[in-house]
Amino acid sequence: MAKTILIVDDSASLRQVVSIALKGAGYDVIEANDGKDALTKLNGTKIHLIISDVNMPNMDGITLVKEIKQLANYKFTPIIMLTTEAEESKKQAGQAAGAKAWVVKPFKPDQMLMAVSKLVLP
Amino acid sequence: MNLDQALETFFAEARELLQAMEDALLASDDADSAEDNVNAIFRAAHTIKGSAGLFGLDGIVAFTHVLESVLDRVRAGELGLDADLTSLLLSCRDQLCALVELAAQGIAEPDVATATAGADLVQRLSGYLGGESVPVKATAQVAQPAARSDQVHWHVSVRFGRDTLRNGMDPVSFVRYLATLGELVHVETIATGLPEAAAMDPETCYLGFEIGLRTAVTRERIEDVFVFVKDDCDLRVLGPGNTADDYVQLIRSMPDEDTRLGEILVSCGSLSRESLDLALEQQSVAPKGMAHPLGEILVQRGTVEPKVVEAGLEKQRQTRERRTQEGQSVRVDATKLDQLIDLVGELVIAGSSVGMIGQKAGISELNEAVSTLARLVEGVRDRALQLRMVQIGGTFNRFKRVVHDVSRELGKDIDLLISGEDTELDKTVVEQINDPLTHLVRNSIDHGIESAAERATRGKPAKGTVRLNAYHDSGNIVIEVSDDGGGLKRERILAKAVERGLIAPEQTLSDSEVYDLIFEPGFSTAAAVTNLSGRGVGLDVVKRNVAALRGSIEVNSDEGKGTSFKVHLPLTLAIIDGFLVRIADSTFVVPLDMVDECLEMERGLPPTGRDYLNVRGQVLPFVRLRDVFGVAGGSQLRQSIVVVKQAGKRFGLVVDTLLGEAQTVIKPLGKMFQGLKGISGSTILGDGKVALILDIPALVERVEHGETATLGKKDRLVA
Amino acid sequence: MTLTAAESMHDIPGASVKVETDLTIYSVAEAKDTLLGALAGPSPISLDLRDVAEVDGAGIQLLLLVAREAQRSGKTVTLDHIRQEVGEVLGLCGLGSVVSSWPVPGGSEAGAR
Repeated sequence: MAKTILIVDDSASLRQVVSIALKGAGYDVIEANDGKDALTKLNGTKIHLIISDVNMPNMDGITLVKEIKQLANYKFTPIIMLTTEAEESKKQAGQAAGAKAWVVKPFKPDQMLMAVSKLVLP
Repeated sequence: MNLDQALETFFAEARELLQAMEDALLASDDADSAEDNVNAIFRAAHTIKGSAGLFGLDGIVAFTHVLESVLDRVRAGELGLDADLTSLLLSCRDQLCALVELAAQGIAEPDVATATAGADLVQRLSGYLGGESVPVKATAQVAQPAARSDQVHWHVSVRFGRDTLRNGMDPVSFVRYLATLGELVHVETIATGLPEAAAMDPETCYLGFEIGLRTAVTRERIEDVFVFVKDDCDLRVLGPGNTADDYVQLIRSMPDEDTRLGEILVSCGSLSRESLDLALEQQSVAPKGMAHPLGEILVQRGTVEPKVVEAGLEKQRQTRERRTQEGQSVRVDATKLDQLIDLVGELVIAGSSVGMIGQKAGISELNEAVSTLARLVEGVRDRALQLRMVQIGGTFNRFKRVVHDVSRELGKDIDLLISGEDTELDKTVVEQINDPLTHLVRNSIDHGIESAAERATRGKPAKGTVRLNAYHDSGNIVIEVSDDGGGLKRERILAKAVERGLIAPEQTLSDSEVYDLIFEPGFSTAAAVTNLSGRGVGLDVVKRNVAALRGSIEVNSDEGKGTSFKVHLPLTLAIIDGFLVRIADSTFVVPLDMVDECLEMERGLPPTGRDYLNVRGQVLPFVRLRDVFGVAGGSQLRQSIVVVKQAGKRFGLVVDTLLGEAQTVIKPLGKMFQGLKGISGSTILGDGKVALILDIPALVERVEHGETATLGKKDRLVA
Repeated sequence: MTLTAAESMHDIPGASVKVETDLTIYSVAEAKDTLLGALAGPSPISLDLRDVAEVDGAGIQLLLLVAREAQRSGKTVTLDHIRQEVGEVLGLCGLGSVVSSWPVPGGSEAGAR
């Protein structure tokens, strides 16, 4: 049974590229374009991993992590934050909120795949 | 669908690039734009390769990689773009077009005709690579077990942090991922951290693993598997390069588990039974037989208190703190730092040169600007030198081992107390002070601290103490090595000095003069010659080494209570504030921090043979540099004395003229002159002339021994 | 989760308890009490895992706790009808051989390695 990954990012092209990489490796992928959208996607579907950008309109990544930690069915889902080198403080805020894994932008699909595989194999 | 959109973007982009490539190839015989054309061709291939990698189009990546390698050589001018190569490249461009269009139609595997054409082109391209292999970099690197032949055995020991599960991390997922890197020889789940059933919180993680892994990947790659939990887990990866001792240490680091853990290491294939037995024998724990039934194993594990985990947590906290500190500093290559210091040195020289010209020209505006500049240069110099400063703590800590080993060797029980470890000094000084300090510490243990029996009769604690201390003292750093031993025995030193012919029997000496005798070559006061003192190296070597660092050493002692060696060292070896003096036509530099005062000798010097003066009621011995260095010529009518202070004593240096202060960049003396006494280096003055830097400690030594007055020509320090 | 005490299919006089949810971090809090409660039954206690589709580290450590407690009270616990996915996780954790050494009633789809 394929594992399902939710990718949350306001950049459509990034979501697309990550999706292609993840699907190619055998994962199922659900996309959301910001934190609010992500919460609506968490509607009972089994999610094995969440990849989320930090800077997004409507609801940012840190707030999203805090929200997820309140959801009984999703609070133990591993979360990979997407940060840039300059966002060390955001990375720490994300970790404090409970997102312990991260991938630094820009990344290559295989880097993302490697990070994902450590937490969930397809 | 969005995914296809991204891919569509790629295809559109690739078509454009391929068109540009074709145009450039067709125009490649145009000499004027040859370089632009080659760049356009290369860029097209390069971008297509990069984007195709992002989309996992491996066929395109592999083909473009070879093409790019050839184009790289063309761009570098190693290959000419002749008609043959141009037509080959055009064929390659067509092949790429075909591959892209196939991919656009969603066909991952090219048809036979296209594949054959591709293989043919790759072969022809390879002909341009001169036999150089063209490994294709794989884009997706997930789950690629490496060739068995390169695999080596690793042992991974991991205990997860309490919050691992709550953070969404499944410990099992890391094992699962490790399995993709190679072959799991053996996995043992460690649950010794499990508390009593009632206290066990199922969402808290109590797990750990001992894993034997055969893989071809590097240690970094294995450690990187745990990167997302590294802050909260206790991870040890042992493999090639680790000895059986490291495994034994691993066993011992988990005291409550050691019997069991040892067996696990053997099961994992990480440790041979012989090594394990040997290790267990050493700590006199009888190895239990392999416990087979799971139940028993679990009981053994389960009864263990979670002490191990607590200790692990404490360890991690410390590690984290250290990591935070490291985050605040930048690692710089020492060579780069040296280059910077060199440049700053040149800047100082150039600056003082401008200053000299300014003074000659007498333009007040220029002089003002120069003085501002000089202040800034001074600031830059100080900051640059600070970059080289390192804490002495690291050096001090190494002595724990020295004290431990030497005191064991001598059967003495000795404590090492360290203070001032955060005192900073120049990296070069730190590197070179190690040997002299080792000698002093060994000396304290060997000669200083008495035997336990002796200490008992003196009412001292049986355990001796050696102290290492460091502090700054007006532009110098002082390193103290002291002990609470028997102290120096004045009478014994005197007797020995007389016996060795170092002093005349009737000579009267002050305490400090007596103590200084121990720095004479071949001096040893220990009644029994021990292994350590029998090495033929005396404190004279220490003194010489310290002097080579432009430092000095003094000793204080309280008989029966202890001895203290104080090593005074300059903060840096690169630049000093100098005091310039002239003798005839030669300029010399006296390190400014040693200059106490200057005296004008209006009434002339005492006649040769009487080398001391009465200065404000005190005797001031002096040395005539003119004689010492055999400088001839120049007026000797109005001479001056520079009074220097060295290790608490004052001495005079007789010179012709006082020139004043200047920053001085020390240039080491060439090999030929390194043995020279009285000179520690040279420097280049603002006017380009060379000046020699005086080695005050060496000169003082001469004065103390009263040798200067009798120096004949052949004995001159500088011939 | 409910534990169903059923008569053994293989004439082993003891309790058979059917575990009805996955053994993951989301369910272990609930599962802990019921699994430990199952230990009250007569030995050997069979944990029927046919409905357990997923087990993770949290589930593994809970099973290890149960096994330890059983051992302390002198009882035997067996894992029966292990599904392939669960068997793979147990195997990955080096518990595979252990599982197979426990009596697994015939006809089980145990994927234990």
